[in-house]
Amino acid sequence: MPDAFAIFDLPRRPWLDATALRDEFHRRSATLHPDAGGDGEKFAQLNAAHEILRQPDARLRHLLELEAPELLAHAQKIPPALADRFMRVAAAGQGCAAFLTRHRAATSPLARALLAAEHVTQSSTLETTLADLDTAQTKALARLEILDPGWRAHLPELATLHAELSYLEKWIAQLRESRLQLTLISNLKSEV
Amino acid sequence: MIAGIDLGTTNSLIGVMDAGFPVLLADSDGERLTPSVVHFPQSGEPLVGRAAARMGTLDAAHTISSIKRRMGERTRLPLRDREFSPEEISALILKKLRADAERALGQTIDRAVITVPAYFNDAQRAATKTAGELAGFTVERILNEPTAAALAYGLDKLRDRSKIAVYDFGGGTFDISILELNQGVFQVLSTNGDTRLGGDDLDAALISDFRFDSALRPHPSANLPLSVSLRSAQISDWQKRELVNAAKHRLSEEDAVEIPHGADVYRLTRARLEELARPIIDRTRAHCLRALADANLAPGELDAVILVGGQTRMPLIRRIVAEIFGREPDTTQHPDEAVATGATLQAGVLSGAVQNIVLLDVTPLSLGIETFGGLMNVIIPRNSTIPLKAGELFTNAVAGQQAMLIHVLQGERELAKDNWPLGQFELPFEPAPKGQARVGVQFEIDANGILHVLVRDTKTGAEKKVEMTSAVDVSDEAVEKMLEDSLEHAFEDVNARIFTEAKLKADELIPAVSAGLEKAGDLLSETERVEIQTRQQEVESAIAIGAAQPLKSAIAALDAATQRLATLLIEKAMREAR
Repeated sequence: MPDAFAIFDLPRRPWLDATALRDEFHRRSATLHPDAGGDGEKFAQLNAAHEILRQPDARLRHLLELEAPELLAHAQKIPPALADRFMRVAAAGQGCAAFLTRHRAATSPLARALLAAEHVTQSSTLETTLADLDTAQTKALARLEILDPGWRAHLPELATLHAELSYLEKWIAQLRESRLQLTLISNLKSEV
Repeated sequence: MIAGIDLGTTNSLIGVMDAGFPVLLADSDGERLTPSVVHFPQSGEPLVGRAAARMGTLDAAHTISSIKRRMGERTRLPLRDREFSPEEISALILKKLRADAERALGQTIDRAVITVPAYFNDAQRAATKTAGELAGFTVERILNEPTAAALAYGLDKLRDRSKIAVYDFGGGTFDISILELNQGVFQVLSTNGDTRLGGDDLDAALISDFRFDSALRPHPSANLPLSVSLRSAQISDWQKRELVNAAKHRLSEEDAVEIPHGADVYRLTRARLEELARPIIDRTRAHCLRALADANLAPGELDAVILVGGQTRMPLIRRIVAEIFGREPDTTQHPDEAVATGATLQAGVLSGAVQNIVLLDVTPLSLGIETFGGLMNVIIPRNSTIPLKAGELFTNAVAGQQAMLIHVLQGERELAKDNWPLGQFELPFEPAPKGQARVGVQFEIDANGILHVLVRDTKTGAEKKVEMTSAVDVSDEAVEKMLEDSLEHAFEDVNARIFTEAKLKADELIPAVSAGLEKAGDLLSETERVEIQTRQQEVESAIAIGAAQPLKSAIAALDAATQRLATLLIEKAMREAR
C-alpha cells in the first residue's frame, strides 16, 4: 500500500480530524470518481487511502508500517491496561450468547417470559461493559491527539496505543452485535 | 442518450434527461407504470405490461409476474413450446420499455442504467445486466434502488450536508440504505435488506386468509359454509391476488372495503390487514437496526427517513418506520417513481448531462474465500465503498503443489457453507518448495457491484482476468438431494410427527408453568390458578393417551391460560430491574 497520507497530501501523523478528512474525500471524489470523468485507478487509491485514514487503529497501523515496522511485531498481545477488561468483555459476550441460545430454544410465550428477568440482567451487564469500553476508547483517542504534535518521539507508546485501539474496536463491534441481538428479541409486546 | 430504468417486481418505468430535468416516459396508453407481467399467447409474440396483466386473469398458467424474485437462479420456466430463463423474461419487459420510450422520443435508445435492490448479490446483479443486454441495451450501470431514490430526494438539496435513511419496501424486495449527502456527493454509509421480502408477502398472507361472503345475504337457514367454499374454490389464485391487491390499496385510505365478485363479495378491514401484515413488516426492523449500527449512527443523528416503494403508502408501514427511527418519515418522494427518477439522473451523470453529482455506493455483502476448516475468510467487508480492489497473496501449502482451488463466497456467516457461493477458480503454482510459490490475486468490485477476479503473473506482472465456474450446479444437486429426502419422509406417519413435535413443546411448557407459578403465581386470582392447573392436567393426560391432535389443542389451551402469567412475569422482571 502506498503512503495513504501522501495520497491526501497530508503530512504523516497519528491524529486526524474525522469531519475534515471526510470533506476532503468528498471534495476529491467529485473530480476523481470515474463517473465524473476521473481516473478509475486514482479513485481506487483515494478510496483505499480514505478507508485506512478514517479508522484510528488502521491509520496508526499504517503509520507504524511506514515509520517503525519493527514495533508492530510486538503489538499482537493484549496490552496490560486492557487485560482485566478483556475478562469482562469475554464474560459479557459469552453470557449474552448463552442467553440468546436459550431464548431461541424457548418456543412457548411462558418459557420466554421466564427468561425476561435474565434478559434485563444481560442487557445491563452489556451496557455497563460497552460504556466502559467507550470510555477507554475516548481516553486512548485523547492521548493520541496529545501525542500528535511531537509524535516521532513517542513511537513505542503509539505502538501500544495501536494495539489498545485495535482490541477496543474489535470488542466494541462484538458487543454491539450482541446488543443488537438482545434488542431484536426484546419485543415484549409480541411475546405476550 | 442514456435511459434510466426501474425494473421492478410489480411495475417498471423508464425515463430520460430532457433539458436538464429527469422525465419519465409514458406508453401509448399514456401510462408511466408498466406492470412487470409477461403473457405467452397460444401463437404470436409475448404480451408485456397491462395487456399481459389482463390475460393473467383468464390464463394464469401462461402468465409470469414477479420474475424479479427469481433473478440469479439457474431455473428455466417452461412456457408454451420453449423454456425461458428469468433473464429472458426480464429482457421482454425491458424491450417493451425500450420500444415505448423510442416511440415517445422518436429516436433509438441503446444505453441504459438499470436499478436493482441494494441487497442483490453478485449473481442477481449479473443476471440483471444480462437481461439488459438481451434487450439490446449497453448497460452503463447497475444502480442500487435506494441510492437512486436518495438522488431524486437530494437533487434540490445539493448544497446541504445531511444524513438520511432510505426505507424502500417494494413489491418483492426490501432495502434500507443510510447515506451522507455533502456538496453533491452522495455517499452510502451502509445498506441492508432482504431480497425476498415485499408486498408480495402481504398478498400471499391475504390470499391464504381469503374467503368470500355471499353478497346476496341468504336466509340464515341456507347452508352458507358449503356455498362459500365452493365459490371460493372456483376462483383462481391470480383473481384472488387481484382482489386482495385492490383491497390492500384501498385500505391505505379506508377502514373497510367490500369488493363484489359475481354473486360474492370480498370483505377486508384495515384491522385484519394490519394483523396479517405486522409480522411481515416487523422483519424490516432488524435490517434497519443493523444498517444504523454499520453506519455507526443513532437514529437521532439522521436528518430524514425517506419512504419509497408502492407499499409504503400503507399507514401501518409508516407507523412501524416511525417506531424504529423515532421520527415521522419523509413522504415527499413519489413512492412508485422516485427510483426511476434517480436512475434517470444517474444516466444524466454518466452521459455528462448532469454535473456536480457523484454517487459513492457500497457493496452490500462481504466477499471472501473458503479457508482451511470450511471457514469464510473476509477479503472485502460489507459496506466498503466501490469501485475497489483488494489483493490477496496465496502460497503453496506443500512442496510441488501444482494448483489450488479457490471458492469465492458472498455473505455474513462464519461458515463457508452458509454463504452464497459465487464460483470457484483454479490457481496454478510454479513447482517450488513449501511456501515458496506465490500468486497474487486481485478481487475487484466494479461500480455495478459486480466482482472480477484478476490473477497476477509473478514473472511478467501482467494481470489476467479469471473466469469463475459457477458453483450453482453443485447446489442444484444439493437441491435434488433435499427433494429426495423430503419425498422419503413424506410417507412417514404424519400423526407420529405431529405428536413428537407437540410432545417436545409440552416438555418445555410444563416445567415453565411450574416455574412461572412459583415466581408469580401469588399475583394470579384463585380462578386463574385453577384454570391453569386444569389445562395442565389435560396436557398431561393427552400425553398419556398418545393422541396427536388432542395434545396439540390441549397445549394451545394451556398457552392461552398462561398468557396473563407470562405478562406478569415480564412486568415483574421490568419492575425489579429499576
